[in-house]
Amino acid sequence: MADSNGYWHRFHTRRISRRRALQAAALGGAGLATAAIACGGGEEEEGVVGEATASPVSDELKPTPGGTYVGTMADLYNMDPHRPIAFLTHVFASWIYSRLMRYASTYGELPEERWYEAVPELAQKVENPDPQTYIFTLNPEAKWHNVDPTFGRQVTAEDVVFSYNRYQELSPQAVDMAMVDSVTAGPDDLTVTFKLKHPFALFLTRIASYQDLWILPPELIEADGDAEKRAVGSGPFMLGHYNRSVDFEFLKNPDYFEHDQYGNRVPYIDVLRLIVIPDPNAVISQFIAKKIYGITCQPRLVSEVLDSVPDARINRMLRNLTSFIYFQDSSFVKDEGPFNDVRVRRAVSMAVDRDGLLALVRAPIDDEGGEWCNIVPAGLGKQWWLDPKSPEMGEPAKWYKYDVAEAKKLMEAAGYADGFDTRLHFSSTIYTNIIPYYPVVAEALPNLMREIGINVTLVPEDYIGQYMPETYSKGKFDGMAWGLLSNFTDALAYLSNSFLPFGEGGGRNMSKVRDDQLIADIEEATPEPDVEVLRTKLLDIQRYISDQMYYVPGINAIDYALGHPYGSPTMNSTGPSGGYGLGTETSMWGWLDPEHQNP
Amino acid sequence: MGKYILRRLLLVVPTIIGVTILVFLLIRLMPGDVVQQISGETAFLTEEQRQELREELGLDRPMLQQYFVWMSKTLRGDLGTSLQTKVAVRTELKNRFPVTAELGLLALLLSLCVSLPIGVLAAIRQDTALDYVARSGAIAFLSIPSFWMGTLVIVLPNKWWGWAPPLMYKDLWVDPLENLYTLIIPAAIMGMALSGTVMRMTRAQMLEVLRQDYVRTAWSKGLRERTVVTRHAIKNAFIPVVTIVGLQIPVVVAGAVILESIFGIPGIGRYLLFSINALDYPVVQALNLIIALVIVLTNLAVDVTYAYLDPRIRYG
Repeated sequence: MADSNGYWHRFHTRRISRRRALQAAALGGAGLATAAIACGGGEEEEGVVGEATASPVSDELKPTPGGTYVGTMADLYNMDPHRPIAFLTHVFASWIYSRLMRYASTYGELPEERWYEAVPELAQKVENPDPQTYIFTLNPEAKWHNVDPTFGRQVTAEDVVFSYNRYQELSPQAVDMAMVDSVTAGPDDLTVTFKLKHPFALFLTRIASYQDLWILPPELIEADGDAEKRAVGSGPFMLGHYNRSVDFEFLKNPDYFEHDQYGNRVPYIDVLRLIVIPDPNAVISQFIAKKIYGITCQPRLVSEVLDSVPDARINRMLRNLTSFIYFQDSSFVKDEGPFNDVRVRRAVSMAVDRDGLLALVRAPIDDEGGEWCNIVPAGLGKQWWLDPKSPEMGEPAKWYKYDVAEAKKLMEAAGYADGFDTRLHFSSTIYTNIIPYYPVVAEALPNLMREIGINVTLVPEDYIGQYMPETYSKGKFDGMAWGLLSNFTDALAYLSNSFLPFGEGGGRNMSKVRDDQLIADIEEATPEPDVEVLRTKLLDIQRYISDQMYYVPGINAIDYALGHPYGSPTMNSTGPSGGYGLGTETSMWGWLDPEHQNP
Repeated sequence: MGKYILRRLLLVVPTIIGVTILVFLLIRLMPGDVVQQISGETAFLTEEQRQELREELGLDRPMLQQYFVWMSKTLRGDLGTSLQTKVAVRTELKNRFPVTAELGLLALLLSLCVSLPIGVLAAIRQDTALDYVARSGAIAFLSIPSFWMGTLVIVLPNKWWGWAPPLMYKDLWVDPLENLYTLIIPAAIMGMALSGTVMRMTRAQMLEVLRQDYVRTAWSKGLRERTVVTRHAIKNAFIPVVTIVGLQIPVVVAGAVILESIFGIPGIGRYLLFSINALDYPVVQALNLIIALVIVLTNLAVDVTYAYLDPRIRYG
């Protein structure tokens, strides 16, 4: 249940305007429809965990099909969703391809208890007869795009098996599906069964992840060898063209299998045109000139844009993104000081003024800038994220409080009363464009650390040349580093990747933390079949890691998206994070007013 | 002259070989792991996976072997395939080279249209207000970075009037007017950077020519100023300017990288920047080779033109 004192509740009620009040009233009906989505709207069968979705529209929010939506997108490095872990490729994939499951979405704000809730997509029904078996029944109306080489044939269980095998063979993220023992088609063309090696309560959440199992047609791979030259799927849009460095054009798939209750097939818009605009100033200028309909915007620029476009809709997003300080691996591998001492790590945490940093990075239009991080980000919602400011955190909450005096005592107790010198590595490129608060915090940290006697020298590193391949991927650095962790859609993924041994499921354990008790706890939690019990275990683990401060979490700041009010209300999927499954979670439910359908 | 041209053409070969070696080595000296880059920045690969990818991409071979494989393919016209996008470099070049060429030519044209007349006027009105303004303007044009000017052109009119540059690039044969509208502003900014040098060179050459005896003779014959300048002085003053214009090609290429990114123009400059960021070896190598070839051949053309224009110049 959403906490009535929770951030999003306070935020929503404080910032409500007349326009939003009207929207909220209109959403009442949509909210009811949305609540029916995951439950199928009818009598639940035993063992059935979800049925095909209904649409979020209502009599108050009736769509007007047609038109061309103009937006912006960056160039892709590649199109094959089974190969890279590039979020842009997965955003692209979400328009063209389908997953078995996707995440819930609605107009306006999605209730916190529904963040990252897996709902059926390609699958019409999911049965879970025992904790290690998931039986997906595909939607019989699901067809591949009616173009060469698929020519509109039905999507079958064999296609799913093919895609799973290819994903296992090629994807660098295949470890996400390590719990799967086998995937088999049958007894009919529309039934596919996943057998797990052990129970995995979050399996449906995991399989809905946009960095994992996209369903591709075998004949495309057989004809082309990969999914780079053409993009042919079963998704809501077909690729009209991709002129590299110029634009993307996605055309409505006229045979897409989802409808709304008024008989309209989705997507509503006919054409989605995304222009490649590399310069961020140019993006904003095109938005102000009303040539593109929606943008993401740095917090510091939101006010300026609103000055020029006062009626712009604002979508505030709290991403599934953790920011954190991590330490040289010799701290844990060789037990070398100073960061091997938990008191020093706690002192570092207590020297981080998280509220101050949030105030520094917030948009001028808002009073609050975001949330305090845990290793599990706030963007996953309170059901999985243990808020460091909440009473539920317990004793370890004190390590998050900004308390210089107490931090100095810890330093003294650890034998560093005079402090020490160290370095802070951070990425000076790439992140600076896409995560606006990242460089701001990196540059603020030395001042904060100095207050407790730690003299920090900043070490800016090129993202591609040094930071990602060496510092982040291999943990090859000295001192401290400032990092980000994202893209996972469940708490267990964050914890496994951060604390299991590096190379044994701990893909993000760059500090090579080795805590046998912690590893045992995570391994014990992993096969827990009961979601509520799992939740309790993961919250306990978060308390433990907060106490140990192996990684010092930072902030989870709000990102902003602005849109012209040209049609449907803004949509939120995957909670307020604005996830990468845009195609089937938001775009296909969007529409344009008749007067804005022709750009 | 024929022998001279042949000799210069033969000299192109070792020059280009030198460029290929430099480019081949420099990109491989860049920090970063191309295998990591291809797999996605957050992919965690085992050593076996990295090795497999290296073998697939031919990156496990010795450097010398990689170089010779690349050179032998290039000599057969195969410029390679992008490691990232799997699109042949030739295909991308075919689409992008005309765009950058058009942008560069437009920039040169605009720069000459501005700098030549102003340079001439500044010389014949030496030490007047016009001369001072022209010289200061040239220094300003040389000093102002094109990326800054490009950003100002996008931000300020948008703030004041809600104007934005054209949203999307259109090919010249698809929509000529829209094409020109898209390119005119970045071309003008690039031309501005070029015109500073050309203006000052024109002015300096004009001043030197105007002091020549034959020009004094022309004045003493009672010819009008326009006749002295246009019929006697300009032709000789412009000869060294031709050389300077030819040497602006590298400036055009460098400007293209920045301005194409700011204005969203799909030329080779933007492609080069994208490929450098992606550590896309085949693309970076091929593009640098093409650019080097263009510059070398342009210089040769300039030298030959110089000899044609000035009968005193004879190459043995």
